[in-house]
Amino acid sequence: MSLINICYFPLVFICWVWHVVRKFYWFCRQSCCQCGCCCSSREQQELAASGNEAISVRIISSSNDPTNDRTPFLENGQERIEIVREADENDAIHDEEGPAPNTSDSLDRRGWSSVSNRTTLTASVHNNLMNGRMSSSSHNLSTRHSGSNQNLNHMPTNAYGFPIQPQNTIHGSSSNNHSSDASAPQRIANMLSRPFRSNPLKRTKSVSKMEKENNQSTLNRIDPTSTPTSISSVNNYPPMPPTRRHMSTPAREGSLRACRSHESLLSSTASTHMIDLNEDARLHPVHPSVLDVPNCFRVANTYYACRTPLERAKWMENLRKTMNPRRDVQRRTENGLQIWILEAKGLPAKRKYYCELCLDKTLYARTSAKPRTDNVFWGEHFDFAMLPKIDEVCVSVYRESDSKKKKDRATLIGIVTITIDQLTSRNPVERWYTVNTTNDTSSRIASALGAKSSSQDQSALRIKARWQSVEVLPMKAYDELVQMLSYSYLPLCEQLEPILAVRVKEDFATSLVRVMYKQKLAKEFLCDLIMKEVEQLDNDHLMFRGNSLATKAMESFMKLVADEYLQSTLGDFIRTALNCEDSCEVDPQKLGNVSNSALEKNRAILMRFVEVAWTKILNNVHQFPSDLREVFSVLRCRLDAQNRGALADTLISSSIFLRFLCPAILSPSLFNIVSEYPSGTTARNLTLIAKTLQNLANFTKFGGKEHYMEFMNEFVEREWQRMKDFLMRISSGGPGVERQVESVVDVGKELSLIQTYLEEAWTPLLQEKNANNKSLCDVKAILTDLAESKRRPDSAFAQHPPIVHQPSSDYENSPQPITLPRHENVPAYRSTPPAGQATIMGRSMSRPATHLMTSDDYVLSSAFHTPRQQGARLIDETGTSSSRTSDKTTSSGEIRDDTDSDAELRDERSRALRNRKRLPRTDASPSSSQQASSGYFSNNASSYSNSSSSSPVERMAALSIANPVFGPGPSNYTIPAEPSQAYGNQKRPSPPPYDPEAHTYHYQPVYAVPPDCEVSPRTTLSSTSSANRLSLPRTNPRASRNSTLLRPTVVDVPDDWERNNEYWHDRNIDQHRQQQDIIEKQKKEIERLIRENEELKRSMTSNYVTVVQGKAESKRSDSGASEDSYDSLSSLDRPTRKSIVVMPQ
Amino acid sequence: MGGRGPGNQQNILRLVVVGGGGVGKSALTIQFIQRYFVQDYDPTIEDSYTKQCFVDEDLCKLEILDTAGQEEFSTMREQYLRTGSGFLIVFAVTDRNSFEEVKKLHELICRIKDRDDFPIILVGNKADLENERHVARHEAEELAHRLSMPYLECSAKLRRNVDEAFFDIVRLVRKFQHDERTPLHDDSILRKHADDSSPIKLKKKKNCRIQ
Repeated sequence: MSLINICYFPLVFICWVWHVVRKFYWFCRQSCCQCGCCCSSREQQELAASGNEAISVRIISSSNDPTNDRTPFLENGQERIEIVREADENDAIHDEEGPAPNTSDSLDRRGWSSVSNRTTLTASVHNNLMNGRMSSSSHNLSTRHSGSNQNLNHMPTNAYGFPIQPQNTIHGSSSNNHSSDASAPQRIANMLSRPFRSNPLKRTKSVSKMEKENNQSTLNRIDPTSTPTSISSVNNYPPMPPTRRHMSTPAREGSLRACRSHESLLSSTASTHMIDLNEDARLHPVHPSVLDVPNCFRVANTYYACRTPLERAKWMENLRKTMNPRRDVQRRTENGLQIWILEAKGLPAKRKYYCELCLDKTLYARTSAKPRTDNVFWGEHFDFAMLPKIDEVCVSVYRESDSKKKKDRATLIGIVTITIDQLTSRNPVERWYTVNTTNDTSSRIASALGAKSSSQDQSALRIKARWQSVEVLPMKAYDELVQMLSYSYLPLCEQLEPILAVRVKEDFATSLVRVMYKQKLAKEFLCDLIMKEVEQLDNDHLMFRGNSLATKAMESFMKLVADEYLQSTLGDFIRTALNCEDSCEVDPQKLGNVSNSALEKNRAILMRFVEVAWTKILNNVHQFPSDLREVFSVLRCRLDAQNRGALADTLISSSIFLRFLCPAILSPSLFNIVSEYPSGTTARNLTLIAKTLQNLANFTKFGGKEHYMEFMNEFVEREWQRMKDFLMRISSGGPGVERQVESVVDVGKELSLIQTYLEEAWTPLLQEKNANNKSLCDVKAILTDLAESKRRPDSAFAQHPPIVHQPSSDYENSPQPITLPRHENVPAYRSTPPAGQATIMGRSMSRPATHLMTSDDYVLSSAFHTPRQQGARLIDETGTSSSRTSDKTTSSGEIRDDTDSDAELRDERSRALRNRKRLPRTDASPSSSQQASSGYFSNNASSYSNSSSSSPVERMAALSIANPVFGPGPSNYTIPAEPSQAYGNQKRPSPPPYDPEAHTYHYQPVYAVPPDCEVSPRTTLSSTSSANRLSLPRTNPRASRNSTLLRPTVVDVPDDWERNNEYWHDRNIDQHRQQQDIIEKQKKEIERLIRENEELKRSMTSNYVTVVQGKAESKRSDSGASEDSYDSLSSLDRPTRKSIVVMPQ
Repeated sequence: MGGRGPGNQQNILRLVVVGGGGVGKSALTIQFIQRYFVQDYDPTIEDSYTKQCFVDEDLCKLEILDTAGQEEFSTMREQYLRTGSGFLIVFAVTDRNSFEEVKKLHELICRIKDRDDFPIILVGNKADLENERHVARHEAEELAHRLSMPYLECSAKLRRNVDEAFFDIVRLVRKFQHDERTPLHDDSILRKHADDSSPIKLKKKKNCRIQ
């Protein structure tokens, strides 16, 4: 590790010891709990108020603590704290006392940090958790209050005033913030775990007592069981026993207290434990029900809690890549299990029941406890990924313990064991499984059921499950598939649409959208697909209402990018609604005989609910994910361009409301808002709320269908305008907040899935049908290739081992031989030195040829590919129109014109953009000499107007990320274990924010780099992120592929790609609109001319030819107004030209 | 046993209208209940209606649940599928996709009810749009036959076969309930009885026995 780390330790250690000592002192002075109690109410308020803010615990200590004696330390810490403060955008601080926000903030924290002992820190929960220690699980209390457990990493450091690198808290590069406190072996593993163990706030009596008091009122779902499991030796943590008490068992109190001793406090300092993080280390997300803490994951028997699901995903992704840096060049198997525990029948109506779900004896989740009504219905859905290979799924049914009897424990009713091969199927398997009751309970049940145990009365569980074991090939094996997908998604989807069953459609669309997302093509893909569907529909009312690939793709895209938005918008609201006991049933028929006032009351409640939900949606519009916003705005533009602008609102509202927000309200469990399936009253409440919102989004009034809802009309009408505004706001590009949230996608897995789906769907018949379709004729070949490489043993891939100096983990960045020889101005590939060759050889595995220089295969293959590419490009125009004429029964010329013009629009626009781009590009080449070959980089950078990284350092860093040629050299990839050497000296912004598309090889070492404290976090953040952004031209997968090989001057950006992508990404709305207008005008003009032409043709007068020519010429000068548009109109031009030619005959 | 208690079941029948998105479930239902055709299509989340009518000279009270066709709302299905006593699976003859969903829905209902047959009727809506037809009549009939349920082609727009569809399902439900009554009746009585008496006493007794 590094010097910095070593410097840290003494300081940090001293601080730490000091802190501990002080704490004890403080304890002695203050009789334990009073203080805690007195501040707790205040604290609670704070906590409750702070809601979702990043720093949710703001305890304003009444400064009765001697803070002055710690000044030296604090001064040390204060700076960092401010850094933290600055770096965290979300840090909305409820600072009641401070006059000037910034200073008071740090002061406040200072005070706070010294008093922190008696206050419950949110983060400490996580820390303990992370350590596998729940001893202070009482801290959960505060966590609970704060709404969502957020402050994973901030808080402890704040509390101590330790210097921290805030960016890692945000971006999940795990190591640095924890370098603070130990002299333990310097391994990543330790870095991960150390800080959590050092939290001196644990197990203090005051805390516990305080909690206890608070507990009684507010918190009844702390999970007790994790407490005793790992007190100091985390490594010995056993797989969780399958039979455990339910979380709300009162008996947990005892188990909690058992470990609250001061010895443990001491022992924690002495013992250093080590987690061996190797490839075998188990890493998987932990269902919230296991620990009763959301967003946890587990590495090698240690649990970590994150603030948001996204954060967790990023942590895990980074950890995975760190643990196995070769993941994407290896063959691997991804296991996943989706399981719905639906209902049970044949159980006696007695108390509540819950299920525990074990996979191979390890507890993975439990359901909530539900009473028996007709049956016992849970309806809960679990989705586990990253599973090891398991043999069986075991669901055990428990009867909840009697809450009145303290000693009562949950009773095991029976077990359902399902072997995994029963669940290995394409679609989820749903059936009733007989519950194998234990002898004891079976007789009890039998007797409870009246001693009648016919087969029908046997208790059974209805479970739906699917086990997916996906074999993922090395990334490069999928190159062709990816290429095919990204070039010809539209014809492909068109072909598949009628074939796929609904469920397959959903799976396929999900995987495709994810791949496209990683390819930076999601917007194009979605818009093309949706527009296609819109064009094909003749009934506007039916638009986007069915279950098609387009709607499914849109849905999964929203789930992918808008999850955080959803959580922040409606999460709290839905949870509140779920906890609300009041019914807001407004249907008199369902209410039965109730007074008018009761009805009125219910109406008021419903109204309030709806208003709150709607207000939340409106107020949170700034958080709307920019990806989605762009998609909507492009859709709007394209609809406008087709003169169907009126449809835009419908389309957008049926995307965001019908497909996303309303389903989330109705079934929050599907969106990970809660895991419990709403039942009874709450379900009805949610339904009514969703109905009202959907009506609002439909711009329709109640009445007709359900008269009892008519009282809502006033509200609905009142809000229409705001709904319109909202839809407009989320669909207008504009300079919104550039909050590029990168969702984590395992592309390899998705690609492998797509391969499977295609293999199923792509019948020989279909292949035959598309034999002449340039874009799709290769599908079969690609699939065969993939199947072939799947059959091949692993060694086939191992042949080209770590030479892979290409950042191969992401195919996006891997070199693409195909694209290279396209431009004349590119230094010929042949001149590349051996390194390049090696890379190419490495990549050529799927093809027989290995050598580039030898005039055969590779050159041949690339030569082979070039026309295909063009063909693929063509289908954008030709493919769409032709295919549509074929399958559209009522295809009218008018609509076809629409598409044509649309394609042209795009064409035209992109051309304009390309022109714009030319300037910087020529600029860039001279600069390449002075700036160590930044040719490639600056070229890409130039396409971003906001390229803010001007400092050479940042540039350098960016460069080294972008292009290994400029980095420390290939050697560092081979030694992932000791990465910091390579990077240590480099002045490189320390942990780069997680960037999933970035090459693993570059990033992976960085995790271990000690924090470079001199870089202020703000700049670090921005520079790294900009570096990432710039280094990876998100618009152009192809271009980035080249990056590894390219010489400075090489700028190889295939025309069509640039065109497509620039159109989408650099799009300036205004200009876009203007252009559209122009084009629109010109188009009309041309159409008019064409029409005239036709008329003239028909009349066939003698002087007719000259007239036509004249017209045509005039038209040409018209369209020649701008060079671009002229070009783009060529296709429209064609008919006229043709007519000119034809006429003279 | 919920709404199927012997007391209610003659009177209140819970009919559930299911089917893909945009096939005309609401149009069909509204045409049946309120006798007019809704031109506009607004996606339904979940609407419920009640209607009393005479079927075969017996008065019955219908509670009709009009559901969402979008897959996104499929989790809600669990709820209403469990409570429904008769189902209309609707597809649009103009929409091949919606036809493909029929089989899945049928399977779902049967599984939830844990029975091989249940009162379900297959309804092909939009039969008036003959020139846009994508599902041939014989195809639908074949499927219906295979899944052993009756098939009807309707047009909510022209009010063709609308009442028939609902009445048919009412008859089916009646027949089904009549057939089932004897065993079901016994069962439920027994179970009810057991439920009432079981709570603590039985358990204690049993503990004794075991020891």
